[in-house]
Amino acid sequence: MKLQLTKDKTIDVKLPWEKGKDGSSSERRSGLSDVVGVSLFQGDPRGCPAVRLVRKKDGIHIVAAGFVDAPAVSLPSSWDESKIQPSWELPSAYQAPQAALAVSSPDMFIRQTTRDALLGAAKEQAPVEKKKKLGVKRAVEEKKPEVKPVPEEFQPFTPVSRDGTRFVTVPMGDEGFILQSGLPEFQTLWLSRLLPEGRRPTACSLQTTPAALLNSIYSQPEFNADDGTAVAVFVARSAIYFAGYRKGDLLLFRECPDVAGYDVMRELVKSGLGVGDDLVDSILEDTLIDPRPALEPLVRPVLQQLQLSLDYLAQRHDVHVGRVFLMGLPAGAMYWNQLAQESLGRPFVSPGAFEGFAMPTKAGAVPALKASESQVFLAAVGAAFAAMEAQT
Amino acid sequence: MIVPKLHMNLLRDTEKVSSSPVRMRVMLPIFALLLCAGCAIWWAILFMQMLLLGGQVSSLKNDLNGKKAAHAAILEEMGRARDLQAELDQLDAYAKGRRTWGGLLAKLADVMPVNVQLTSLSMPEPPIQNLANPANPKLPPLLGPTNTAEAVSLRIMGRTAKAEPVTTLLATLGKEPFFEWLVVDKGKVNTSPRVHSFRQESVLGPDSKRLLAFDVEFRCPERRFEK
Repeated sequence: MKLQLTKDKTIDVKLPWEKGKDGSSSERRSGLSDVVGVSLFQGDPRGCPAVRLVRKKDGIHIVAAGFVDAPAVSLPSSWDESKIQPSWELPSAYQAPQAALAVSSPDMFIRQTTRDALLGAAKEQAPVEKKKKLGVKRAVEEKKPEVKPVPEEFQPFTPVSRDGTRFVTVPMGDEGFILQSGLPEFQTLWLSRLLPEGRRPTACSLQTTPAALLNSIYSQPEFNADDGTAVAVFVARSAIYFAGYRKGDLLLFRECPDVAGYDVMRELVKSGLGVGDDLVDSILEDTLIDPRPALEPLVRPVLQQLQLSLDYLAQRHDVHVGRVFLMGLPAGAMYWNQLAQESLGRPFVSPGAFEGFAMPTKAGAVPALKASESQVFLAAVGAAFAAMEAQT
Repeated sequence: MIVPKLHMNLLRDTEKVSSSPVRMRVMLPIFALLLCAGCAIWWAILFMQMLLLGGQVSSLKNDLNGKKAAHAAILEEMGRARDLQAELDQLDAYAKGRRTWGGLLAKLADVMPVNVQLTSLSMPEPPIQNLANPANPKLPPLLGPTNTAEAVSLRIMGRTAKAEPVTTLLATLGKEPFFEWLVVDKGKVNTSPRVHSFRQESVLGPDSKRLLAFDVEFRCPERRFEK
């Protein structure tokens, strides 16, 4: 909207609901200013990682971070178990008005797919040439493939319940591809009622842990410095994900095949070095013992898959990534970097999970953590940050 | 900072609940019910008050209807009492206006000179009052006098052989105890006593002497018809 201040002076005021220069309507943000992100059922014995984010004039602040007691009942695995509905409350420091839950479930899924696959459309059949008649040659009209309209229930960012599963899709930067993430319906219903109404906080966002991890990189200053073009390796407890971004748009998402996550890495170190459970993290962080022989069976395939992903981005999308982020790894990033340097010729960038946010001045609000130790909060940060900042 | 574009929220809008302890979906029906209950109580109070007032009105009407006859009787009695009181007042006024002449005549006999013969003692009719309407003389005249005072006079006529006994009589009547009945006023207007005539009679007396006839009128105190 243009406002004419004087005869010669006119200013442009862009209202949130006005269309941008490219004709696309800029959507409103969710407008939440105080959100606590909680990573549920991650399997950490210390509890559930929780981070409270508050939007202030000078940016987003972390008000509190730490581990909260997990719900008394575990995530149901069937409809019958979901009838037992506990009521869960958070400590006072985490009682923001809204909560964003990042849930780890063995039944969750997240995948890159296409719209046609989602709609269950049959593959486009090649045009059948009619039988040629003798002496007659007809020009075959080239038919454009029909683009099926997307049903309203499959609109992006809209939760859809289908076949006992609730899922949501978002468009990817690669046209025609979408990212789909979901949970069983009974788990979604159970989680939506976990935080009781009328008490702080109540759930405003429910995401799977991988989806929350994908959002966590948007707060990283180095990611923003590269204009949102990067590849990230997210190491979860049970899986490793690759994500490629171009100007903030997701171009690539895949789960590393045949490689489990951080828990398997710990088991490898334990069995390879013959140490106890309590020494694994210290060995992975110290330089006294070289755990690389134990790590290589896991990391090498990851690096090979990463190289494939980098090649895919370079050849398919002409995206040449400057930095590769390694996120979510609580310990051992140093050795991953050395192996990456050997295999790829470049190290990983392993920023802390809280980078990009203003830290609290109050002592004790956030535990003193190294950058690698803060990675357990990555999913909670990503969930809260997405709920607070994402366009809806 | 680049805005996250991958918010994959599985919660429906209907599943998002408020963290405020005040739940409008609970409080609004409660407030509505309380409002309805308040209105109902208010209307009930008004209805009860209306019933009570209606009962009071009907009882008052019945009471008034029952007392109408007695009230009429009281009004009639009060009218009668007023009439009687008016009659009593009128009687009192008449009693006040009653003029007794017996004492005057008894005392007049005592002071009457020997050579004087009274031929007439009369109280003349008061002059006819002007009954014309003072506001508009063309209107019909008033039914009666509007003043409560009436002029009264005593006219004495007689004969005598000389003038001196008459002069003595007039001087005596101007003193005590005749002040109660007669007024002596020596002013120029409305003089009392007024001598109408004092002349020699044409008829001779028994001893063939000519007699003097006199006619004198005394003004008396006004006769007042007042309580």
